[in-house]
Amino acid sequence: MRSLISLIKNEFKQLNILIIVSTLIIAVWEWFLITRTEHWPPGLSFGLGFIPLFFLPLIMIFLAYNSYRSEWGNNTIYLLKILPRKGYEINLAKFIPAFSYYLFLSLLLIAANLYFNQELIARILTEIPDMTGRQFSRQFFILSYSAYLITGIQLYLITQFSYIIASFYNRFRLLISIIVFILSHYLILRVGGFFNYLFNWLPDFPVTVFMESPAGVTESTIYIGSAPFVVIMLIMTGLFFLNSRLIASDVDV
Amino acid sequence: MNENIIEVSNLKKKFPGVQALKGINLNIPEGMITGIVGPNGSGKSTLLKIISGLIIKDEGQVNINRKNKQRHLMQDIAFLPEINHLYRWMRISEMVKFHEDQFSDFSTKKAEELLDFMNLKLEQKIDNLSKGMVARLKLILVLSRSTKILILDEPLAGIDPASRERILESLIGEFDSANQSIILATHEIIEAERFLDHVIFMEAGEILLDGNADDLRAEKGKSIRELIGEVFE
Repeated sequence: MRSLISLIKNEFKQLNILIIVSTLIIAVWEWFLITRTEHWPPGLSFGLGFIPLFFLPLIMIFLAYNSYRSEWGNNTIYLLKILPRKGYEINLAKFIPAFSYYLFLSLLLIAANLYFNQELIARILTEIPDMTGRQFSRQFFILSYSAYLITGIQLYLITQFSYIIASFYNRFRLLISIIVFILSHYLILRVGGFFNYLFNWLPDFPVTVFMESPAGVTESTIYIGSAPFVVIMLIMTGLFFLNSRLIASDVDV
Repeated sequence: MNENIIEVSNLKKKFPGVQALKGINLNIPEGMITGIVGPNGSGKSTLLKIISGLIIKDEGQVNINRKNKQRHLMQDIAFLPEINHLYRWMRISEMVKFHEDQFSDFSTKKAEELLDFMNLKLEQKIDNLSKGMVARLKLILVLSRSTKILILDEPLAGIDPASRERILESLIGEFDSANQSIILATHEIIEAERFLDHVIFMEAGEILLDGNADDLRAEKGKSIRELIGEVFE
């Protein structure tokens, strides 16, 4: 356990600058939007405040691509490969800091945006019927945020897999990575579709939705299958162990 | 007669456009310092990397300590690569701590003693070290482990004569022949010759000559350095 913690700390130290710079950029962006709240139409600042959420998955792609590329570039891949550690430990030490970064910054961003726009949110909640209150918001938030986290994990693992596959070749590594990245998404979609049938028996998530019409607001419940969530998590777990295995046992240095 | 700590049979490895190892057979005796000598591209590093589990062999068998499971044996091998494989942003103290956390057989006390002997300071940043200092640090980190097998790939390459002497002194001073075996690939045969117990001559992925250093000297009536000149002519 001490060895794993040491590896994780090592990775966190390498992410320090990125974390500080990203946090500062987000803070500056949020501060800028706060200063514009009075001048811009209601809700615009609030909406724009979520824009950095679209960049975080891109940073996950960057982190994943660099997770082993930097080790190769600095020859520290030798150090990792001679450690008496299993592949999944080395890969977990890479994944945990990257995912923590993604989780921390996205939560920070959402919390900051909600905090600085409390008045607007309160006004919106009073304008729509009581029944669309907290329960609806919580369900919506949890499902959307879970999907967002899964997207980040998926992009990270597929990018990492693409780079590892490309590292088997001496030339055109970037091109090979891009091709593998695209094909992997397609493959995961097909495999996921197949496995989805196997997990159809899993219970669905009930989600309350509201529809506004001239007759008023009507409430209904729709059901979102939990199978796709389970299947994608299983595929990602498999991909994580595949990446670990490739790094530990199959890639030459 | 020493038992063999490493047994290699019919080992082959091909890289794009070149057959790096052409079916090598060799035995490395336990408790000795074995030198692998040969020109650039002879396959020395490839051989050592395969033994250390860093690259995958195409064919053949490598038994380490009479076992054939590579990854489980990393705890028994301390490998020193030719290049600088250390995190440059770390200080020496952080690198020592990292090794202490990663290797159960690593002795921080021994590392500190060796750092003192090699004129290195714990607070120095690795990025600011000269090539000779990095070479000394790499060796210290390897020697501070009590593993059965030390594999050193060109530990003296590009190092100034004074540092070379210090490196060899520590290497020999710390060598415990009852419990350890050293495998050393080197070009610097002039300095290393006096320490070698067993010598393997390699060229173009093949072994040209392999034997006990004293026996070879006695049999051929020449020093290892002279023999190298003769073998590679």
